[in-house]
Amino acid sequence: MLLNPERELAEVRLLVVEDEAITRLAVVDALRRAGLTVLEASTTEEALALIDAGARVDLVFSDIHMPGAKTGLDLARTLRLRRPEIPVVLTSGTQQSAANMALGAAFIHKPYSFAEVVAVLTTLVQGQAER
Amino acid sequence: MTTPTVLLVEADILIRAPLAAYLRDCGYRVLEAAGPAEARVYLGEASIAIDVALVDIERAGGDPAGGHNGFALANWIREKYPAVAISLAGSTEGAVGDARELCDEGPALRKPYDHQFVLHEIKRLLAARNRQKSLR
Repeated sequence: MLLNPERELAEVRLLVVEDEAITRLAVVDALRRAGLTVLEASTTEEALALIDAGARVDLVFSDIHMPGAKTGLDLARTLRLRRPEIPVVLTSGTQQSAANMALGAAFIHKPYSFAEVVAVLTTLVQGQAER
Repeated sequence: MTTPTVLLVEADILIRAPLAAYLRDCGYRVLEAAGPAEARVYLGEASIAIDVALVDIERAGGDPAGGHNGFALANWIREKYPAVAISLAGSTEGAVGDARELCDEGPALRKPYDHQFVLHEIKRLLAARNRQKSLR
């Protein structure tokens, strides 16, 4: 699925799901500097609460290893069922490629550079790459 | 002039996210903390200079490790980081009364948040803090 290539970056609402506060802050700062509108959640439960409450989210970038009952993979599975139009990009320090491929989610390996994350997400947003 | 940084400690993401977005639109850098544990991480990071902490005393979230509730967090911030201006939010009379004892710079915020009022309160706290700095 491709996002609308005509869409301005600032109009795109990206949800970052990351439990490590400093990591989350650093990556959302980098993404905001790149021009994206970023929502942030510290758990997958928070992410789903936002989406279920009707917050507009065009793209989700989530860590896989999260505290609480649901991991990032669970979040991706839930969104695939409930909101399949929302692309999901997952990240982890361990290889999860098989699981990600089964979910149709893109994957960025940790540790990542912010430039890499910004490049992958903005490319996805701009519709220049397929999930 | 650098962008003032606001630490927003609020457990309910449906309250935290729109308030944070509003304050960002107003030009602030907003750090979102889902609870005291995250707030302490931000406060302890030397590279982050926090100007104002907006703490929900009832719903800032508990700390399973035995740390702080929102009210205790505010006390802790005041003791450990006295340069950080604190604004407290709560919805019950008792909590607000306690908050007034802690936060003598001004009234506590009542919930549900009026975003405009929160903005004015942050501006007021920043102005008061800058005045204090200029007097030193």
